[in-house]
Amino acid sequence: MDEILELENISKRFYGIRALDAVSMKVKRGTVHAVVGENGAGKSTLMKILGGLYKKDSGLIKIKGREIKINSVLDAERHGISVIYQEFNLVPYLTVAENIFLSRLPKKGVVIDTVKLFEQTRRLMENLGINIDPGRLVQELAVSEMQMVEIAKAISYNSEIIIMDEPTAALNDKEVENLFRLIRQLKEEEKTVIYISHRMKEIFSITDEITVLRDGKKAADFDTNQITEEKLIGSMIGRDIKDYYNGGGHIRNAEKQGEVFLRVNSLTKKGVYEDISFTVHKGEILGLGGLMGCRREEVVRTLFGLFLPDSGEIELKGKKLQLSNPMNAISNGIMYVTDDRKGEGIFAGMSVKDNLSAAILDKLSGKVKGIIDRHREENIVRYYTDYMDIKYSSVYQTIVNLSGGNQQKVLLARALATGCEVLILLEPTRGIDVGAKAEIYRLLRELAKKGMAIILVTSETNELITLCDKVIVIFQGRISGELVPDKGSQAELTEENLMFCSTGNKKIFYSEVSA
Amino acid sequence: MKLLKFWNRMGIFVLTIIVVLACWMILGNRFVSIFNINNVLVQVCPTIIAGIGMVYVITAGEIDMSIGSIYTITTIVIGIGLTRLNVGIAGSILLAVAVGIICGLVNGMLVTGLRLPSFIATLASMLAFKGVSYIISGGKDILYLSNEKFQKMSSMRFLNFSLPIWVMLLLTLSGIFIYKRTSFGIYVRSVGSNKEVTAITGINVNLITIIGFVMTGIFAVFGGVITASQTLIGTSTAGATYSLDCVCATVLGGTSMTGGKGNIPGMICAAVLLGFLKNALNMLNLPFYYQYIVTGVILVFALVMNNLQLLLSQKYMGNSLN
Repeated sequence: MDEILELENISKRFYGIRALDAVSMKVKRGTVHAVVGENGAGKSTLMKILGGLYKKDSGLIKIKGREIKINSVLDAERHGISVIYQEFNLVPYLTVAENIFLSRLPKKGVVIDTVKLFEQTRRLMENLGINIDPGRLVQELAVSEMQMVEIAKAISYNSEIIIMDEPTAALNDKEVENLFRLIRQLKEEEKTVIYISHRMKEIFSITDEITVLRDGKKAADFDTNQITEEKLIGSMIGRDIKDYYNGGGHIRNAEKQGEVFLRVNSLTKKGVYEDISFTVHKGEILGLGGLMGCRREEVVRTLFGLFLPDSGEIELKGKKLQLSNPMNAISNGIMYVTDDRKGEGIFAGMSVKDNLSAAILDKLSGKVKGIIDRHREENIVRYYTDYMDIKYSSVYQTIVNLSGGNQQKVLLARALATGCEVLILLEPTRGIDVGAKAEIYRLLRELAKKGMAIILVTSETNELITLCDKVIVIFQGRISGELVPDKGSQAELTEENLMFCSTGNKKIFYSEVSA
Repeated sequence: MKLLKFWNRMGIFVLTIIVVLACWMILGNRFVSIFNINNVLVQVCPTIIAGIGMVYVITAGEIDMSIGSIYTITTIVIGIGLTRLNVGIAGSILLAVAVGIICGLVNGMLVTGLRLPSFIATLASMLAFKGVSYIISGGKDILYLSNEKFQKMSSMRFLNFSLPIWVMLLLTLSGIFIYKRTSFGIYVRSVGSNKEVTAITGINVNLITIIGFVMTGIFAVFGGVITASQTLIGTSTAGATYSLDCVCATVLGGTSMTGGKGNIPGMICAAVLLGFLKNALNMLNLPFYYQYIVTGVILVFALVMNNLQLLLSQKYMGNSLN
């Protein structure tokens, strides 16, 4: 096997900050090569250099042993490199076909040859086994379909090297499988895939070689089948971390369960979810499992007053709640941390301080009502940023300049600052690095220990199994399982049982089993 | 829901038909005489022609508030071409088009080169262009009533309709053709829909934006030429409400102010609707200021109807925000 792509001493600085420091790597033709590392390790910067979005400061890029220059997106395309970026790069008001061939629209004279355009797209989709009508507007597609269109677009350039930056972030298990089938097909065609992901499982099941980046430098190269997950994570964060997932076994809080805190009683919204009932105890972490589109987001949005049910009751400490908007929920001590950090989480242009104190401004008045006591505000902000170990240069730093993990911590701090007793978290570790993940896990356990009731919605099976005291699984808007981490129980919280329940193949309820 | 979707797409056409029918019932046959219809269409010609350009810039995610001034300059440049330079009708029009291209280039450069928000940039250029119009006219109106050929052109008729209407029709069809069938049309839509993506795809976003502004300038000039041929006067006070009329027709016609989605037939329909309303109010001998109120009410009504789908669907889905 020969090397198709060689990078030699690639360096890149942004405003004096070193993003990449003499990174070298070799990628063999016809392989799937993983690039891993914590957020801010430089993976995305490196890929953007290859894709022509950034220019390298120094270093060499060689393709098939020949040095090339990449100064623009078109250069990258010409040299057979296409990139699927983390963010979707699709135009919502155009059709699937127009999106895929946007820069290469087939023409008859000055007019676009629509027939040929659709024909090309249909052929491409067929080849890839993707079932999306080329004439549909991208705006109308589901997120996973958009991801598929992105992939089709990248492949349509007939590139030798395809870079995928966290392509599975928005896909469910079946779609991931479909993507993997595609990747294997590409491999058979002697194409090369560079695969960036945080998901260990995927890295170990699809890639051949791994390059680890850490703090802008290359940390190591591995053969995938000659390394363990633990070692890989150790190499990513630069130290052995024993309690990445809790370390030694899960201890259930069941015995020391406190009072019932939140009781949800046959919550129903016609056509969305039906007969949802569960309880959360004080100090308990309740997991909500299920596949994408199973409506668990709608259920938790209901608990925060973002979504209105037709019928059913929500009781907090025995008191019935009418949650018609988030203000209601917050004043009752319920707080919500979104999974859509960019869209509904951070105020991108505002500072760390303003982001953190956004939900408690009404409590920050000084002597005059309505005028913020800045001293107090800063104290509170400092307290939380210290408590959570949020890394920033000053509280006035704009939040978008923080890493994803630190942004997520600021959002958590915003929620905690309200003094809430029930915390709803959606995908709290999505797109953040292993180090920050471990810290968030530690924090959640600590909060639960202090008596916080936590509802955790996550698509990472590992998190459900290692963090939760109880997991409710939802399938097509109905509860299909209640699992607990009791060894030997029929309703044991295992990957297998979770899979059975979330695909609707089985219904398993802890209470029924024990009764 | 289906009805609402239909309204979203076709609402402005339905509204126009309803208003025209209502006016017909109230005013009788003199309202729908060929003479009157021709009259109304000729009156809205400049708005429609410049409106085509407006649809393009708004679809590209920008706006051009300076077209009123470009229109003003046009009437003056035509006057200068006809009376002082004596370059004939075609020469004068060419001269005006050249001026329109320069104005569009200036706008495009301000927006892409200096990265100014287009609303502010074109507000500034609106004032500057207006100043230029005073300078080249010397602050005086330029009359070219003596040019009979020019006047005759605008009153020439084919199949009962005046020449300006046919010109408008031709420009409209080419506007729709470029929008729908050429890659430039698609690029305009994709720039307005998502600038970053378009750039990443390897398309020169700045170039597309500049061409968009230049097109708007050219269309505004054509609008001005039509007016000039009717009034035969070049004056710096012309075109005061022109930009706003165009924006109004564009938005009422279903073009999204956030970019990416344009609607040329809708814009034309909206302009025609407003023209007929104005005409009907005139026939009813109502003072002109009622037109403003009626226009405002219609604008709000149409936009609420467009939003209704969103409002209802959110309620239906159980969303409590918005």
